[in-house]
Parts: sequence; C-alpha cells; structure tokens
Amino acid sequence: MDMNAPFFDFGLFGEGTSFIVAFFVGIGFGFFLERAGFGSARKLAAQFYFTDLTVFKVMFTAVVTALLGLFWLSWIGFLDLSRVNLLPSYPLPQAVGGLIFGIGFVAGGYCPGTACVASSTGKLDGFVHLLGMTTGILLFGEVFPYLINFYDSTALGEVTLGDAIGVPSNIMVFVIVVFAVLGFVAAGRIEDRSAKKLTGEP
Amino acid sequence: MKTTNRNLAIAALVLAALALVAGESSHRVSVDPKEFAYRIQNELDHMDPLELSEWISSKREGFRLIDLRTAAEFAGYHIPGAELMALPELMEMKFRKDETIVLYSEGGIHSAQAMFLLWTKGYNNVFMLKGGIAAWEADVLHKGDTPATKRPHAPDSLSVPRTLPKKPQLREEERFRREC
Repeated sequence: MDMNAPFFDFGLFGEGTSFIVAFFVGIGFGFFLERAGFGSARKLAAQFYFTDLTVFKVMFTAVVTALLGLFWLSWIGFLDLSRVNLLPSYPLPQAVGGLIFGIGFVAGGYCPGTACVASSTGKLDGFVHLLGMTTGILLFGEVFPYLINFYDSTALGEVTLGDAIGVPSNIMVFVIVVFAVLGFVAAGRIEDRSAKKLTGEP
Repeated sequence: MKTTNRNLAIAALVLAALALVAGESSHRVSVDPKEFAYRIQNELDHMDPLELSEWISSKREGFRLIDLRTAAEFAGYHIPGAELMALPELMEMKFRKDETIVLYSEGGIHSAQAMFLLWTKGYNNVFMLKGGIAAWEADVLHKGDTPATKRPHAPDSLSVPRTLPKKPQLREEERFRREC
C-alpha cells in the first residue's frame, strides 16, 4: 500500500483546506467533550474526589483508540509515523506545569479545553475560567524572559515513551492497552465504592 | 452499555496482543523529493566549516559528528569530537530524532551519499560538512595561511578562531531546519 497519510504532508490538500479540516475537527472535539459531560465543572472536579472518573475513562479511551489506530495504520503502510508531529519533551518544566495545571483544574473545575466547552454552552464559570486563563497567558508572556532557562531545561527532543526507555513500539502498545483496561476496571470499582459510601450502603 | 464496554475492551486487548506478534511497524519511510530538492537548491543540506567550528568551540550539545573516512585517515587527523563510522555501520545506528548529525568525508561525495541514505531512514536533521575535511583544513585550521602550508602537521592541535564571523543567514537556515 502506498503511504498517503498524514494527508497534509503528502499534498492531498493545501494550507487553506487544512484550516477548514481543523475547524471541523475542533467542532467535533468540542461536541463530543460536551456530550461526555465535560461542560460541567462538578463532573470534572469529581475525578479528584474519586466519585466520577469519566475524565480518566474518556482520556484513556482516546489514548488507546489513537494508539492502536496509529500503530496499525503505520503497520499496513498507510501512515508514515515519522511525519506525525511530536511535541518535544521537557520532563522537569512539564512536571511543574502539570502540577500548576492540576491545581487550576481542581480549583476552577475546568481545563482549558473544557472551559471553552462550558462557555460555549453559556456557563458563567466557564467564561470566568477563560478570563483567568487569558490573564495567566499574558502574565506568563511578561515573565517569560526570566523563566526561559527553566522552560528549556531537561530537553529530550521529540521522543516517544518507547524511544526514551528503549522499548519497541509494539510492546509499548501492548503494555499501555493492558494498563488502560486494568485502569478502566479499577475506575469502575472505585466509583461503585464511592457511590455506596455516599448513599450509605454497606 | 456494560456489554459494549466489555466488548470494546476485548477488541482493544486483541489488537494489542496482535501488535506483539506483528512486530514493530514497518518503518517504511517516504522521502519528500520536493522538500529535499529545496534544501539542496538552497544549500540547507550543508554545514559551513566555520559554523561547525563555532558549534565545537561553544561545546554545543545534541549533535553528532561522523567521520566517514578510513580508520587510517581518521587516526592521521580528525575533527575534534568526531566518531569514525563506516557506511554499513552508520546504517545500523539508531540516532535520537532530535539529534543533529553532521557528516564529513575527504571531499563531499561520500558524505552526500550517506546523507541521502539517512534521509531515507527518516532522519531529517542530517547535514554534510561543506567541502569535507579539505574545506575544514582550509577554512578553520589554516585560516589566513598561504596555500603552501596547508596540510596539518600536529593533527589534534586545533585552533578555533576566538571570534568567528557572524552569519545571520545561518540562523535563518537553522530555524528552517527545525521547522522541517
């Protein structure tokens, strides 16, 4: 089979069309986030209290779907994985960023994407979250020159998890899928236990 | 709903188990001739000897310098930090994707061939030293010498100029390479 994906890289469509495609992908993404209940701050924050692990399940479903899709499409020769854009890894600043992100998430009830979803359905807290996010971005831009050394520290480049620990991609696929499925089972049990606690059932 | 979830989980596990049997994805990498033609046309596949000397003197990280000449030539003289590698050995190497690979040979033909082969293996950050070791000797080792004194007598006594001419277009090229 001839490789023909990523479509943009192989010239199937130009930059103008890519914006239109991105627009519809974005609309679809927002729609499914909203349908999964991610427009509700209560539902999103509930994951931190282990009473509703929908976020975990939706995210890992997306990871497993994309992982298997990318692996098998590449394996049959449809997709050139070397042309798929990877974000570079900076473990230390990313860990600190993740912590700040988590604090913002549990305090405000939204992450950036879900704040957009909530505000698009007219939720006031979604708008306030977006306002805070924009202010944070502006502040970050102002202090960026002082943070640049930390921002660029521990650069690993565009590496995958398998590259970083020296494990072949097919084994990584298997390990991650098994962990995800075990995670789903554990999440279901945790939710059941939390529900029983809330309702006072033994 | 629970049955659907269970069926989907089973399907995912089956596909993951098959991945174990199937082995790593085929690693067939396609080369975009237009992109590489653009690089070659605009000399973005080259590294200037002065720029390389600047990288070495500033102890720049994240790049590998590969000497493709014979072991005897390498022992006679090599650019500081270079690794001797024969072409078949180079093809077996697994470089990190973020590493910049600079190749050099006596002139340029051998390193150009190696660069093409690495491009076909999916390594995009590969460059050849413009003019090979001969240009390095002329532009860096013997900068300002008369032609009669060009060959190095003390192989590793590299003297990198303290101040190198700034070449703004090189920064632009580097940015282009990163974007590619």
